[in-house]
Amino acid sequence: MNRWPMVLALLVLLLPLEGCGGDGEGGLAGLGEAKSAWPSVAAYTAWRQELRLYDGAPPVVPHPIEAYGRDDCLACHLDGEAVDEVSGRPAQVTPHPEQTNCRQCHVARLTDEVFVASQGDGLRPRTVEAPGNPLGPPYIPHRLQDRENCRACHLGEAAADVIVPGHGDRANCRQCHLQLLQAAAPFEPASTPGGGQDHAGT
Amino acid sequence: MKESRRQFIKTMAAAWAAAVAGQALVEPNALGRSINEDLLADPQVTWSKAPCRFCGTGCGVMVGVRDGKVVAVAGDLENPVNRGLLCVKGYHLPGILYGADRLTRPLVRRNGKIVETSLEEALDLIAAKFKETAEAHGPDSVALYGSGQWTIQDGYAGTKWMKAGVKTNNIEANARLCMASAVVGFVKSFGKDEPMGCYDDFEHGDVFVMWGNNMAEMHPVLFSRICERKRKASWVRIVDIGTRRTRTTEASDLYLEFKPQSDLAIANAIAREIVERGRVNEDFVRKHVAFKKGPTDIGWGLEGGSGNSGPDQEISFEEYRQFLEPYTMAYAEEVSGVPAAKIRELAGWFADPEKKVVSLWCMGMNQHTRGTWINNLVYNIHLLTGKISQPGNGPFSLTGQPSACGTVREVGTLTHALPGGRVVMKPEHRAFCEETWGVPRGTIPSRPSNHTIEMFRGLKDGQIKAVWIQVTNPMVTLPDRDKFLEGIGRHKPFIVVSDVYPTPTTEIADVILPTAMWVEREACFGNSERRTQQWDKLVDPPGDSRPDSWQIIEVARRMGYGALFPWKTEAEQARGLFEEHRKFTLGVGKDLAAYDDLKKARGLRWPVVDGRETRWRYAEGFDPYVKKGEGYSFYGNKALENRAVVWARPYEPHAEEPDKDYPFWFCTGRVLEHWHTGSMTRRVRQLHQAMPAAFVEIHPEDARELGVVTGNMVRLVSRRGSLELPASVGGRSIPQKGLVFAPFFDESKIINVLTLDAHCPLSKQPDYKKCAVKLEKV
Amino acid sequence: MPISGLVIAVPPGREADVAEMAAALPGLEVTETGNGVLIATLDTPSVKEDKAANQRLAEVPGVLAVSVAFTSVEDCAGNGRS
Repeated sequence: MNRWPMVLALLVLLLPLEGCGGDGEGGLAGLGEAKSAWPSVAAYTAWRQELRLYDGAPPVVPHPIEAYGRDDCLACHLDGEAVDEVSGRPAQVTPHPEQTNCRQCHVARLTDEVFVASQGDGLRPRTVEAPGNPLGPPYIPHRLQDRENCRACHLGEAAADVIVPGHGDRANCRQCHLQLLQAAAPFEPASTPGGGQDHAGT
Repeated sequence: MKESRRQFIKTMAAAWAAAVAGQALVEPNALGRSINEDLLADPQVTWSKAPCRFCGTGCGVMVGVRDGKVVAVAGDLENPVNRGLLCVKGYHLPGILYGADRLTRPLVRRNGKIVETSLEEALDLIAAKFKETAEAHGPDSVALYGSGQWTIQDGYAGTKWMKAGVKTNNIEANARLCMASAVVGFVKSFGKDEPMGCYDDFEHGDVFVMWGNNMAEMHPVLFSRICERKRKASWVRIVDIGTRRTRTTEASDLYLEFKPQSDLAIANAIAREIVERGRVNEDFVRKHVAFKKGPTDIGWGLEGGSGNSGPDQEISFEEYRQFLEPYTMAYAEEVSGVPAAKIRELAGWFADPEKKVVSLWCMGMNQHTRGTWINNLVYNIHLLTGKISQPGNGPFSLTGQPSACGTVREVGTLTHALPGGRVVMKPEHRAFCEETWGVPRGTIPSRPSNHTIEMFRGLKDGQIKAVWIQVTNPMVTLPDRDKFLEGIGRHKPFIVVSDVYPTPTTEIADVILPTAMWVEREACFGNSERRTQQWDKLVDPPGDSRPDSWQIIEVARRMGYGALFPWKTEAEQARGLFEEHRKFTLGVGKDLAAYDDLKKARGLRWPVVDGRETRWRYAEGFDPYVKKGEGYSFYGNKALENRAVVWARPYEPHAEEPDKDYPFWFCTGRVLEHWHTGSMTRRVRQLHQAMPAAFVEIHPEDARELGVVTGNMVRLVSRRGSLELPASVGGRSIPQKGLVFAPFFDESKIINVLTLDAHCPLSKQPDYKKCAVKLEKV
Repeated sequence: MPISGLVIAVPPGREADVAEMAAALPGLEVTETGNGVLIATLDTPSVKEDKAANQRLAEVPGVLAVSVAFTSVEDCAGNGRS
């Protein structure tokens, strides 16, 4: 179906309109005012990677968790309003709150010692390549399984400021942002110029 | 905002959502994952399916390979076992291949020193030593000890080499220490091994009963399926029958904390209650059940110990009813410490014909001096009520290791066994195997030789003079470990170890062979629900590492048995060993799928007949071996007219119970973060740092009396040894008063110096859950 | 006052009863039903209530997943223009 009329309509809808009453609670005050400030994307990415064996692995938890069932975890990690006392950063919002047993995949880090060193190097998020259109939406550099909900990390009060987009809580993110997995497959034309049937009405 | 504009926006919102739903969402599967991330189009990383290397759940994993290394895994959304979910160990699979001390070269002990050697020399040496030992001292002086983590191909090569080549039944596997009671329990009750149900039961059951297993940590992905079921069906109940409070208890609705060994009394009390309330499914029992009793006071298999043996006898229902008489609720409460009201409540759920009940168990029931009996007793309850072989309604014996089913049990890598569920004791079974193997009649010895504990007793006492150990770590896992280590040190048998990392077992080896692990070779596993899963070779193993089966074939060739193994390359061996093994499974109710079908599928549940899996065995409409009109047929028991057996099994005490000198029960087991002896998982930084060291769990009151808090060192002493461990009080799990628990993943704390090699006399499986210790504050 | 368009994943066959339970949430209207999918709009007085409604929706028995396909926040202060 031809989506352009709808896209145009959408753009119209999202243009700011004057004279609308606010909801009195700061509305989307959290957008663009993330409480988690980072000096650079590289610093944020490095911190994120350090918690994981590879891009796509469940991060380890930097605080004790033994006493916590799912409700305890979600008390802080569902909407990102809680703040970690030690780091001063908001609790990361989970992209998959529907999962039942948090500690089945997320384990704590109780020591900095290593039993035997490893020679392995896990998959890391790709560097965000310049998209084909320099003004266009950047590619998603990381795995998506179990993190389909973009808003959990990229929007809201717990988001790291360096990864909050400038265009706000818009619509289906992945209509514009492609994952790098999909970006590099070359296009193979199925038809040849001049071939094929006449199109009626062209 | 004006109302008309508001309405307009809502219309847009709905239209947009509909468009997104139509184009962007993949059909969500039962756990709700809806993602169209296209792994297969990834230009930099190649993704392929494989089952997880760890537990008996058999989760599906997508393995990401780049530049010849495993760099990531993802839960396999297409695999019905786990539908994209893994546990923390599964997510850290990429780390297990790359520990810095990975074995890469063959090592041999010369003049007391370990030196590198070539593969050729190592294999020549092994073959020569095995040949000369067997010639000088008889075939039963050599042995092969494998594993429930052996692939199907490894186990098949091993059993063919030993039984058709060397002509000894001295092949065993660590599944003897893990699942033997389940196997003998199945065979005694149904005539055939392995569960009748499948994981689909988790989406259909109303009550899930854990009999002494910590499913939340040990089969976490399956436990999550139960939790999901409960979230969506609010009437579902989870029951935890255990000796300590665990994460499983946290998720349960009813907790029955019982004194160790008294599970026998509880199970009989539940059966008695069902009979007394008139809730026996009489139609089912009349058509499909027989009753039997066996010898009692059967001992505990101890060295120098004794016990009764003798034939089993059929009895009447009336005799069985009289046998149940003493197992009143009051008696069960007295023996177990569980309030009668709780046992009665659970019995009521079993007795209610409207409730579908799934019983689940693992090591608590199997590592038990009456392991076979307690397996029979849980089957009794399901047989009396007819709650068996139906969706969400039946007993489910969970398997611990990834291929104890697929390899040890189905290939038959045990002293008494032959492929396809056959046994060496039956002439017609031996004849079939000899013919299929193309060896002369009389090749296969007709009597079992040594089960695992006997095998290691033979090694420590000098009768067995050469052993090859593959994919397992007995110097950490044998009960009463020091007795075996000391004897082996005195008699010095020739020991070959195939492994991937240095362990306490490689420390006593004369030859160490570096071995390919997991996706470094092509092979198959078989999981708890009879699902055989195949994977391809995805990366090269390091250095001289080769698959266990390749090593066996090389040694067999050198010993003159090359004709048994006509496949040359690894790829030919992977397919050839499986396809030959498959022949033994056809037509006997264990039909494996064709190899090419397994390559394509996310595994298939046997018996696979005419390309269709079997989800519930023994039930008409589900099992192709059950004829129309039969309803149910337990066709493993032809001599009993295809009836399953309800067994009169009494409560009998354990070999070593607490007394005034050693007043505590000592229990052992695993934790979520580590697999078995930790040789793989401890080398993954995240898993080690989450669970760095062993500990002893103590009940808070016991700790207070002892004067210890978490972190204080405690000395545990048994009649066999002593060990110091830091206390854990009120941590993850809380044992009952008078019981302490320690995990076995930490090779610097060998908890088996404390345990006892008492075992179930029927299954020969040792009891790792019970012995007596005293505690001293250090 | 945010208006969202939602795609709600449900087990095939359960659409009708989940739709009934979901419709009980204030501000939620189910506009379409597909195979294993409900299309709904959510109209709430504030972002906080929008988030809370989303969470409650995810806990409705039978709801497997909720995806927000569209959000309009045009009548709220600070609507993300930057």
